[in-house]
Formats: sequence, C-alpha cells, structure tokens
Amino acid sequence: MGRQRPWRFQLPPEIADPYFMCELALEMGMSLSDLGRRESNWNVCVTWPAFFHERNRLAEIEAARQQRAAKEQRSRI
Amino acid sequence: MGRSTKESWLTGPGDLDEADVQDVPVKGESVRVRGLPAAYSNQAGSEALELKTSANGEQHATINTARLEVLQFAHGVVDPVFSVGEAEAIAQKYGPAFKKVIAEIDRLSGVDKDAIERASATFPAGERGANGTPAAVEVPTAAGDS
Repeated sequence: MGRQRPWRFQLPPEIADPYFMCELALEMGMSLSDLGRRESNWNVCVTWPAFFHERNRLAEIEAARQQRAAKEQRSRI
Repeated sequence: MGRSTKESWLTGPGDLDEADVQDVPVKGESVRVRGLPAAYSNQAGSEALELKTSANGEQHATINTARLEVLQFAHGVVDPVFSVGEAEAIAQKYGPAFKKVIAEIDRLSGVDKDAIERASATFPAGERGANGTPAAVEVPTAAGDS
C-alpha cells in the first residue's frame, strides 16, 4: 500500500485518499460502504495511513537487509 | 468476556464521539452531532473534488468547500437525521446556525495537520502526504512528467 498514484493534487487533511480507501477495503476484506460505516474518518485519515506507512518502511528495511546478506554470501562463495 | 453479537454491532450506539449543539436552528432547540465516519471521506472524495484541466493540459483538483460542508452536515448530524438533499436546503437557508453545527462536527472529528503529525509521531518519522497517506500528493503523472 502507498504506491505512487497517477495524479497530482493535494487533498484536505480530513478527506482520505480514495486510492488508499480502496486499498484498505481490500486489505480488510470489506466493501467500501462497509468500511465507510465501520471506520471513523479519523482512522482512515490518520491512524491507518500512519500504520501502513510504517509497515511499508519496515518491509523495505527488511528487504534491503536481506539483499545485503545475499550479496555478502555471494561474495564469500 | 463474552463474544459480541451481530445485534450489538448493528444496533449499538457506535463509538464515534457525540455532542449536542444547543440553540440551533432557534433558541431552545438542539441537534446531536458526531465525529465523521469514514463514509464521509468516501462521498467527499467522489462529490466534492472537482478536476480541472489548465491551459497547459495539467489536471488540478479543486475542493468544493460548500459541498464538503453539506456532506459534513449530512454525515455528522445524527439526531435528527438529514439526507444530503435536506442538508443542502439547510445550508442555503441557515448561516450562523449551520456554521455552528459544522464547527462542532469539526471539533469532534479532529482531523487536521496537527493531528496527523501527532499520530505520525506514534510511529517513526517518514515522508507523508498532507492527509497522512504516503505519496498521496505531488506525485508524477502517468505521462512521466517528472
């Protein structure tokens, strides 16, 4: 989640990115209307984006670590 | 601790903050409002964002703030309940009373740049868009103009 999107505009802070809403609905296995009913606007604008951003960041760090380890292993062979 | 029932989810009061706004639309009357549900973002994203193409062909989005307030009213006022059409009529008929209700919904919803920064501080720092989503703003278009 959180890939670059093919548009450029600034959303007001109280409107969640529509692309992110779709990604979140997919991840949670629910429809957009269910998501709209069950989540607060605060969560979709603040909490979930912060969480996914951090999860992506940690995944990137882990991928880079594994890449470095693989490279080191190859160089030892 | 018991398992919750479907009934308690569907008919329960919900967990969005609520408050009464007194003396609207006239003295002695009130409405019950709540923090906005995510459904507001769904509808605002599709109805209040207007894409415009400039002379050089670039697309820019503008926000129809009047429409945003109508949607805020429709999603935020819970007692009595108003449809979007009714909220539209109210916005045209009332000024200060309408703004007073919107201000309270804003207060309960509490999403602003400060709130996003505070929430982000919960996690380690990183690049984030104004609405908190990574890379949601100022990204290259598919045409590859960066």
